[in-house]
Amino acid sequence: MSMELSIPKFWRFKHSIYRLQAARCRSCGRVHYPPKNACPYCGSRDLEPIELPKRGKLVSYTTVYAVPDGSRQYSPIYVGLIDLGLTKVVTELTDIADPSQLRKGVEMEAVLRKARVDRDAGLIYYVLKFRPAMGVPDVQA
Amino acid sequence: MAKITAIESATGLGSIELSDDPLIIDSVAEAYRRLSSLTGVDRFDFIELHDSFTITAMLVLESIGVAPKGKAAEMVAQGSFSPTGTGPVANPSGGLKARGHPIGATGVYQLAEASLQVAGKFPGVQVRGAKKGLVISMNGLGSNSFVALVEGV
Repeated sequence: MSMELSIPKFWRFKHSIYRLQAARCRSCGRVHYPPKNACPYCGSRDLEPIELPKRGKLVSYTTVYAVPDGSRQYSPIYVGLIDLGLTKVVTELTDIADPSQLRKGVEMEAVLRKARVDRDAGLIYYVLKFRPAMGVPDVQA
Repeated sequence: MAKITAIESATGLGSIELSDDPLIIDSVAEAYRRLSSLTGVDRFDFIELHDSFTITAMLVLESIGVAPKGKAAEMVAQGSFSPTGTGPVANPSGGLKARGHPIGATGVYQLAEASLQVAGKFPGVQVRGAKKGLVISMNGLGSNSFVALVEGV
């Protein structure tokens, strides 16, 4: 029995995956997600953790039909660029009943969702995805 | 024959969530700015550009300013970058999507084909009277880019 994903890896990234913990550059103020050890803008290594808001506005999105094993039953999936104010994130969009609601500027909010099931091990991996705002986000900032 | 007059490069963020404007490939824009300020050349008979995906071709055309922002796709559809268009001719070789993309060798491929163009010996779509060609090679989504001016001699 083999496992494709690693539990320790998810554990190490739990703050960035589940709390949207980003890194703010103390030198130039830019915020980066996923968190970086060095600022891509000014090169400073003086960064501090900062939690991102769980709501933002959709900038753009794309539809993915070729979905990997383990989550193929969810095809098509939507991947969006969301502006959270402090920074932008690329994330999977969920609860899309009608893709025509995915307009630029529409408000999106984070929700905890299943990402994939590891085939043989049967482990379920969860991530934050974004859905069109319903007013009551599952995850509070 | 042909000569490579200049090669310039620039690094970029290479990631759409990092850039303030995801519709500009910053490393292409900067490398091209350096090349044109070094050589004084900003008009070309043809461009061999890095269309690893359809969208990158459009963004490259807009990032170097041969198409206004948001207009590249429309101009391509109208034939502006075809041999009969107002020019420059984009990817007379067929580009990465039609000719192929052997990753690291693609830039060499582009330079060789641009050299054949300015020498008037390209076996495919030959741009008539081509003397100046621009070659653009990108890494990933623009984490670094190289641009070269190839001229006939």
